[in-house]
Amino acid sequence: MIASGPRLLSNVVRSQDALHAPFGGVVPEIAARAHLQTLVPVIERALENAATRWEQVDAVAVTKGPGLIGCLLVGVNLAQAIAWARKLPVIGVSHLAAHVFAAQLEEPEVRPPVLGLVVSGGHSDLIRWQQDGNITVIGRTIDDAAGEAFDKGARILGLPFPGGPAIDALAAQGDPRAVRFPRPRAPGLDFSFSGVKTALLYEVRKRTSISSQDRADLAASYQEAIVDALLQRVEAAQAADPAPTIVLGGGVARNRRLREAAQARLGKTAHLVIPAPELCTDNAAMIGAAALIEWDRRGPDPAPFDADPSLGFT
Amino acid sequence: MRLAIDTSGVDQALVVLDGRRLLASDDWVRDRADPPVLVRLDAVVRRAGGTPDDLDAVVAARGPGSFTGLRVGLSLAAGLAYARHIPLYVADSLPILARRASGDPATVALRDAGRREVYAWRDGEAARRLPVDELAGWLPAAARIMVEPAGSLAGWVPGLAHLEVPPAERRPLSAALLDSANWTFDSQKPLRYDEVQALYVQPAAAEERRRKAP
Ligand SMILES: [Zn+2]
Repeated sequence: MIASGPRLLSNVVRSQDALHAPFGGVVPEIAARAHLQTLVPVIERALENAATRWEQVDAVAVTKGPGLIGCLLVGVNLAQAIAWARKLPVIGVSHLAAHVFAAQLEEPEVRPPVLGLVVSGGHSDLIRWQQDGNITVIGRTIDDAAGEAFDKGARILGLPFPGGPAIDALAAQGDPRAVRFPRPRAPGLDFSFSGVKTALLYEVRKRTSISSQDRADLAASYQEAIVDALLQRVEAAQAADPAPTIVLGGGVARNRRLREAAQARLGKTAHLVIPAPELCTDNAAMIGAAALIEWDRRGPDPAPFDADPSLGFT
Repeated sequence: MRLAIDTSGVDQALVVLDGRRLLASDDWVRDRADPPVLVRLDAVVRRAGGTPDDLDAVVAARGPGSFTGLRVGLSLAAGLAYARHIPLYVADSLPILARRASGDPATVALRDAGRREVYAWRDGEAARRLPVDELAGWLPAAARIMVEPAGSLAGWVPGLAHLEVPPAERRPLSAALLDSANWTFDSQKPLRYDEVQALYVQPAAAEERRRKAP
C-alpha cells in the first residue's frame, strides 16, 4: 500500500527462497504454483498492515514484466480482475524500472537525470533515467547476471541458495586480496561474469583441501571481483556523462561490500542513493513507487493488458 | 448471476448463468494474438445484462491443460471472487470436456499434452498423463471418447478412431461448461484462496525416464 509522496503504508514480502533452496535455484513451476496460493493472503496482509479497506483504494498497480511467465500471469490477471470487479483503474509497470524508482522510497526528492545500476539474479543493467522520464539501457551483461554469478560462485564454494547473502556473510571473515580474480572484460559498458566464475572453479579445483579460512578468503576475493567490475562500469559511465544522482537497485544492491565500495568510489562524483536492503530485494513497494511516477507520465492503462515476460525498462 | 471460466484448453469459453439458466456465453479458439481474456469477460457480463457487482459465484476449470491458460483462468476467478467476496469453485477440465458429447457425457476424455503424451480421464477416476503409445492398452473396450483437438484419436490409436465422438455430436465448450458449472455449484464446496491450484498431473513414466537420461 502506497500513498502519493511516495509514502509507504505497508510492504508485505512473501519470499519463496525456502521453497526453491533444495533445488539450488528458482524452479519456475514451483514459483507459479506458489503464486496462485499466496497472492490473495499477501494482498490481505498489505491492506491490514496499512489499516486500509478496499473502499479507500484508488488504483491497482502490478508488475507487467519482465520475469517468469507463470508468475507474471498470476499477478497480472489477478490484479486486473480485482480492479475490474471493484471498478478501479490499473497500471502495469516494469519491474526493472521499479528497481530504479525505488530510490524515491528512500529519498522522495530523487529526480532524473539519474545514472542507475540494477543488479539482481536476472539482470545487470546500467541505465540512464533521463529528464524526459525515459529510461535507456547503456550497459548490460553479455552472459550471467551479477546475482547469478553470486549464486553460481556460492554453489562452487558449497554454500546454500540464495548465494548472494551466503557469500556476503562468509566474505566478511575473509581477505578480499587473497586471490586476484580476473576483472571481467566486456566491450564498452557491458558486463561479463562467466570468466570470474570459471576462475573461481579452477581456484577451488587446484586445491587438495580447503580450510574454512580459505573458503572465506575465496568468497571475499570473488565478491571483490564482482563488486569492482560493477563499480568500474558505473565510474566509466559517470566519467563520460556525469549525472547529479546515482542510484543502485536490485537484490544484489543489498550486498554490504557493494554498498560500502559504492559509497567510497561514487559518493564523491554524485549524490548516491541506495535504498534500504528490503527495498532492493524484489518488493511491491517499488511497484507502487513506479506506478506513481508512471501515472504522472501516462496515466492508467486504458485497456486490459497481458503479461510481458521480456519487457524492458518501459 | 454466476460466472464459469474454462481457459484450460485449445477451445475456451465463458458462461454467465442466472440460477441454472444461460444468460450469455462466449466460445473461442485459443490464439496468441487474442486480446486478454478479461476483455471477453467484461463483454460477456455486459451481454448478460449485468456488471461485476451482480456476480455472486465463480467457477474456473483447473486442468489438466495449458500452463498459460490455467493460470489466466484461475487468477481471474480468484481475483474476482476475492474482490467481490463471493464463493470460488474449481472444476476438473477433462470431465468438462467429456460433457461436450451431446446426450450422455463421454466416458473417456483425452486432451493432447504435447510431446506424444495425452491427459487422460476415465469416468470415476482421476486424470492422468499417458504416453500416446500406452493409450491402446489403457482405453476401455467399450468407450465413447471425447478428444481435444478433435480428430486426434486417429493419429494416436488408428485402430480405435471410431470410438471418438464424431464432429456432429460435439457441442460447443460453453454448453458443457454450463452443465459442469451447475453440477459444481450444486454439489461441490467453495475453496479458500490459499487452496486455489491448477491440477498438476505427474509426467508419464516414460517422460520421467527421458528426463533422467543423460
Ligand atoms: Zn528484481
